[in-house]
Amino acid sequence: MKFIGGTILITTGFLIGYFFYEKYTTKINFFTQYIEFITFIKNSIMCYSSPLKTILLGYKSKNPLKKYIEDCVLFLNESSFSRAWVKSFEKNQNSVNLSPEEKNLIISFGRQLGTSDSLSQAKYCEQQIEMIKPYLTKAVREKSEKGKLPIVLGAGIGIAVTILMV
Amino acid sequence: MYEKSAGTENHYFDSAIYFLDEKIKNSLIQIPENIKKNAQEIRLRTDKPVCIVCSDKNFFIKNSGLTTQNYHDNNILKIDKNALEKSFYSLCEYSVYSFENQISNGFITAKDGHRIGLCGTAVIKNGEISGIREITSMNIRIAKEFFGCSSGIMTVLNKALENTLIIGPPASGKTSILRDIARNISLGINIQKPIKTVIIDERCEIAGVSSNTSQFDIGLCDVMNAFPKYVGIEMAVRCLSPECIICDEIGGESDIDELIKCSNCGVNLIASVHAKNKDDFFRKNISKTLISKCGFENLVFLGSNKNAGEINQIIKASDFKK
Repeated sequence: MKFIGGTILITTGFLIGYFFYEKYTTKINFFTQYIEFITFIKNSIMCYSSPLKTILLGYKSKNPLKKYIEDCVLFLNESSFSRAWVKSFEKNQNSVNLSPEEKNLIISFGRQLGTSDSLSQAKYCEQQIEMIKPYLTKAVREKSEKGKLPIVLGAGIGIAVTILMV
Repeated sequence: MYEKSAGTENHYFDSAIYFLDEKIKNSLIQIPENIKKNAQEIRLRTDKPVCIVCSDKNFFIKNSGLTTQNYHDNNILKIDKNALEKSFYSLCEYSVYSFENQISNGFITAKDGHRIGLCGTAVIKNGEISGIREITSMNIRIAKEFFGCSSGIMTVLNKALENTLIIGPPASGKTSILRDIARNISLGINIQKPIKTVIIDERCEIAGVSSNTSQFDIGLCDVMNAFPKYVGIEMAVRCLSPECIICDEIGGESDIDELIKCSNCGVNLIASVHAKNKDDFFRKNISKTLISKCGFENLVFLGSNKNAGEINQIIKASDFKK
């Protein structure tokens, strides 16, 4: 019984630690997908001049970005694109651990999307990608430097509690 | 001749205002049905009263929802800069780049084929207009279908399908007639047999293509949407084996060169051109080229814009030459 209890404690501690570790991974995935998404928007504008709603509907996204895009499309039915973009990111802001600076960068991008000719929009997309890349680099670095700490801490606490109980 | 109505009698008016700012749209929806039915245009100018243009009168809207013909009336509904800008972005589906070609030509074709003319400040690059910024006014031309408006012309075409030119001033019904002819000849209505017809719809008005479908009933025509005429005609002749090509608003030399080539290929042409009346048309140099080199035989003169779609006269170019 003690062995089973101890195993459960250690596993729980490990899982809690892994949950926090996953947040780093989620953030990296989000920025990677976001860059791919902006590239897709840029290419769609340059090649097809498709309206933004068509571009969003045509993009095959994965989590964590998927929810943002789906909500943006939903909000577009009742409001302007910039408003839909902002509402979508405000609604889902807790699913990815974005800093206020990162959030503002993404939200302000949506305000200008679709408001000018195709060449300007393409340059604007390129500019956004260049501005996001340092945050992706930072997220990768944070994961490698601090990512394993929550797992180690979680498993360690689990082991410590097990030892105390034994 | 009858106006097609889908659902409600004033479907055309209500469908033309879908993109407008909520306050303006809600006020326009409430205006009397008889004004909606007769409305030809809705003119929006920054900080000026919203104006509904009918064939013989203009109406303005009071804040109470009533209409007036008095421009100086108190409490009249005006559209401000923000509302006009919001309406413009909504019209562009929040994707201005998607309409940049149309904007550089001064218009956008909305859903259901309504044409919205734009006024503002020109953006010039390399000596050409690349766009319009700071939109100051919009003119919504309400597109309607008039089934049977080409019945007079179909009588002539039934005897022989010859090159036909529809001539009239702006808003005289040229596009409506072309649309009616396109449907009739492609379906073989009031004509000896169905004709393989291609519409070169440079301004997206004849067929009103939106979301991959024609908003107007154009029978079994193939539509080359937003193609410049001089490109579309050549491509149609090469790839679509048309028996007849229909296009709107002939003007430039490049258009006429392609029409000449098309005529020499044995493809029939039905087109429209601007002219105030018969004398105005024959005064223009273009008239001689159109008759002699493009082979237009039937010249159809329309009435003024007060009697849109009314045919004044159909003359044979060969009779005129005599």
